[in-house]
Amino acid sequence: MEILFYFHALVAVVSMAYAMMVSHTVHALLALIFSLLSLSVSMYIIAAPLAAVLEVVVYAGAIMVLFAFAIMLLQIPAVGSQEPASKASMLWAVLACAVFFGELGWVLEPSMAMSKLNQPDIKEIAASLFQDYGFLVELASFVLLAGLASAVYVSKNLMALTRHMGGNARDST
Amino acid sequence: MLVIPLEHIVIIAGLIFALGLLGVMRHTNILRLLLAVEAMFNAAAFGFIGTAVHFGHIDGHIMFLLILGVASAEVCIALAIVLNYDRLCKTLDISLMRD
Repeated sequence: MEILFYFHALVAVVSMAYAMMVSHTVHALLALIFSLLSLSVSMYIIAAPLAAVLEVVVYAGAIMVLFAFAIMLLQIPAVGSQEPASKASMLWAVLACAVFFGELGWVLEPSMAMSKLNQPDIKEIAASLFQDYGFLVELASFVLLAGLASAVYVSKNLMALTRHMGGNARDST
Repeated sequence: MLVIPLEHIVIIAGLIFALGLLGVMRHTNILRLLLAVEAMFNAAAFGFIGTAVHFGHIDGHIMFLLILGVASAEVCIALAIVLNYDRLCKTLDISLMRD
């Protein structure tokens, strides 16, 4: 299992480096999602399944999709080639799929099941969250409420702005 | 029982954080800056999780949940501001942001 951890950590670091280096924003976003997914596998292997699931659901699933929506709304002009993927990148994709399915087969074997020794119980986390850390939970809820309120305010402003500049070619809404 | 040394986890988190910092310093596009900030958040969260698992405490998991909440609130506000900025200035380059 150690080798799986190090492999995924390496994949996470390399794809994060690619996300920071590549010039195309959408490619950067996809590389970042890939990096987050690899990191969540690493978290799962070091016996933090709740964090791994939340990483996939919230980080890769919600926040990055929000970024994708923003990129679609911004209508960033495409840079680079529009032609279909080259042979080399197809080869890389097939290789990645092969590694993924190989790993899936390996992990699904019963002997590879995660040990239950060190992993925290989700009930324990929930109890601690609402007993010892009640104040922090309230604080987080205030932060989220402030985020919600300011996002609504800013988007109202955005709608007024869009209506004001109605004849503009870039406005598709 | 699987044992990954704490040093290795901290090194990985540090590498990802450094890459995020590099991205913040390298780009002038606001969206890319936000992506880099997300990477840094994520590195911090990974460090917390690694430490929590290593010492067998629950506090690191709680901090992960908090980081998740803060990151989602931050992204929600920041993207609304970015959309506004793009409508106003027709650019995403922050080096052109003067007044």
